[in-house]
Amino acid sequence: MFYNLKKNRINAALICCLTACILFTMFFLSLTGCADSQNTKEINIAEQFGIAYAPLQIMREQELLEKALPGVKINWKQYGGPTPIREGMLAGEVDFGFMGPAPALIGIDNGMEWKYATGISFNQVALVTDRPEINSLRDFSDTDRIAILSPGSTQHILLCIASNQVFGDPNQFDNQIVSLSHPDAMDALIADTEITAHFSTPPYLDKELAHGMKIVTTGEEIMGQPFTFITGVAMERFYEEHPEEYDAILLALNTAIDYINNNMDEAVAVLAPIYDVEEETLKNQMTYNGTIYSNELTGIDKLAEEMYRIGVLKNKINYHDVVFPESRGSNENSKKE
Amino acid sequence: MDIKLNGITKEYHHEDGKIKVLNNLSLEVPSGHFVSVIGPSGCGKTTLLKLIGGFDSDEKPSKDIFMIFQDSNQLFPWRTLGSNLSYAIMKTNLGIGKDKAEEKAKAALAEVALLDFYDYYPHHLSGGMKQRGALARALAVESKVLLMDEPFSSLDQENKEIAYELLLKIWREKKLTIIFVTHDLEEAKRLSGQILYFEDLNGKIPV
Amino acid sequence: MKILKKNKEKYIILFWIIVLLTIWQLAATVGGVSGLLLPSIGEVASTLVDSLLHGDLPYQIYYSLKVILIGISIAVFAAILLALASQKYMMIAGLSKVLSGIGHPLPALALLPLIIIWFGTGDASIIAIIVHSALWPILINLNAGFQAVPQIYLDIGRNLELSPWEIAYEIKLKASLPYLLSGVKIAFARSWRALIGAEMVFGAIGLKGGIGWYIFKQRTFMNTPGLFAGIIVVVLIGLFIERFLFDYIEKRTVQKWGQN
Repeated sequence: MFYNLKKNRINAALICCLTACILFTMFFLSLTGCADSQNTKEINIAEQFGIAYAPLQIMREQELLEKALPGVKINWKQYGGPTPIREGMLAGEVDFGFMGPAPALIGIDNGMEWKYATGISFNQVALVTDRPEINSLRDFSDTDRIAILSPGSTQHILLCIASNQVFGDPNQFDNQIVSLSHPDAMDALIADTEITAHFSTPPYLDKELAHGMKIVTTGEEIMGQPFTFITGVAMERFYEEHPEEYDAILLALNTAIDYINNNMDEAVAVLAPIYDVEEETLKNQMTYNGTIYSNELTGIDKLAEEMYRIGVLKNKINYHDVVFPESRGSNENSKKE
Repeated sequence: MDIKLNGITKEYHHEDGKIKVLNNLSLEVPSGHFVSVIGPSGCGKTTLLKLIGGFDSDEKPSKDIFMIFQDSNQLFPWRTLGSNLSYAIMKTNLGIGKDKAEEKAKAALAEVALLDFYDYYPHHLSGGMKQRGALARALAVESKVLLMDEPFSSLDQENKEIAYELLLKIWREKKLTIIFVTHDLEEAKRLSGQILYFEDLNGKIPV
Repeated sequence: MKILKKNKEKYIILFWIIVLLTIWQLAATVGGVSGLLLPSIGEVASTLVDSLLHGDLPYQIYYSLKVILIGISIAVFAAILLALASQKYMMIAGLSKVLSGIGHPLPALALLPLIIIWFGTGDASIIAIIVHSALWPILINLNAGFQAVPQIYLDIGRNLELSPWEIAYEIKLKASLPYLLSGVKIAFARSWRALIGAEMVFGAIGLKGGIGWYIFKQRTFMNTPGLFAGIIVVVLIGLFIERFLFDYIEKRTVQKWGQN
């Protein structure tokens, strides 16, 4: 009986150790050394849906990148917002992502090893409401709900900055925001629900205005200047280890942007079926006041400054440090070169 | 209370055709008599009792003709033994107060020697005790007729003896009419001098 | 002997919890895993404490628990009414079947944008989502329970001259309690999930939102320790409800009655 007891104890100990080892290894492996696209020569690009990302669509349709990099597999991944793109890049599944400037800064503030590589477009972004009596932020009441993409999105940050400017409190509206995609937000706004405001962009913005909605304030008003709405960020590791691919992406992007600006009608013809919109409607949207396709990076340091001021950023961020060298020149605000 | 059945036929539809469970059955049991009905299992004894009790589809059973089933789990498991009885009393004796009902419940349990188990839940009681509890319930609601469907078949001999003594004592004291169904001839003889054979009932002889 | 085994089980569970926590801490500190993927236990703990003491988390926990309690209560009540009515009226039984057939496989989260448009983003919508997630499993289980009521109890009920309502309440419902409880357990799991997911969208419902909104904000602002803290809160609440609430109810009812 004693022999059995001892044997059981040894068995138990062995099993425990073994299981612990297995668990540790599994855990370890799953977290470190993730999807490494080095050996297989693949590039993963994250995009979002909307006409603000039109140059990316053109790049895909005209296979600009595929032609520039034969032998390299280009993976286009579509995401529903900046947060999963950030997480994907952290996991090593995405090398180059496109999003608004604010989530990129939040990432940097929290240790994301990425930098701005380029801009893609400027867009009018505006807070619209279905209540005609509202002329400014002051006129909102406690029961008004404001639709934004998600907390930490550029629209949310703009709302916080504006709220700070008007009330001295950036969190004034934090308990009134609702996280909805643009189409859902637009539907909710038009349907006369509790959601009485939406921080919107084209093409939803023009539809809402056509329905009689009113602009309370715009991004440009809040920032005091125009600013790049969609930026492209790349992981530093990608920039350092794949300079050829990095350059190719920027080149292809510039080509696409030029193409749109010089051949608007053809671009519209290509894009209309993809966005499932009538050509004429799409053309109006793409030539809408304030929609500019350009690779300029404008307003990053102003945004960083404001975000630091309202406490969203824990650290002061210097434009110089967060933009790849070759891309810096395009920022008009840069004084510290 | 007299029980009279005259020429009852009951059929069940089976895959192979119709089965006549009760075939022109006649039965008469005068008030206060204890009658054992004997027959092999599955021959229709339960059907007979259910018919008498009024459990046949649309009929309305009465608390005066109380059935004691074969299954030892016939007390509500979510009530204590005493609560089962007091509930039954309150439902059949409208207007009676809770305290009075509990009094009567205790009295009934005392008759079957289960007073100490008033607060026990049925699943803590043995099979024999549960059957005695069911019997107590019938007493508590003051039934006049007991229809008993092999209630002691799952008890061991010792418990059976206890049960037989108890049943007979109660029968005499309360002057109940009892129809006791069983497949065990010894049991039938032990309990009653009047033994009816099920096959005889079915088809011919008015008794 | 049974008690001994239970104690042994408790020690074993404790052992594994400690092992996992150790692996976590090791991986986060010396294991070279980025703090963005796996913050250390210390960071998570301090964020959790901070959120509890200085943040909105206590209110958010209270809010989430409040709405789920209300929602499940409504679902239980409605299910009992529907199931009892189905016993009496075939029309209602049929309706109940059709509604369950459609409602049960439909995840509430899929309906979210519609619910917002129809009912807004207030408490009513959140509770509607919880009720939808909870009602069908409870109803289906309760109906199964009613089907499974042993005939003998029903016969006794008739023998005692109980009215149909008394039979329904005293016998059918009580005999089905194990099924009902099982349905409620499933319902809780489903509606808890739906609640957290919905809260992520709805924003600050109530006053400051619920745990789901807390978790969502941690995520979008890239606060990984906060994200872990929120997840731990969700896990702990789930455990608490399972262990203490459901087990307690079971002890006082079906276990006491020998019906498990």
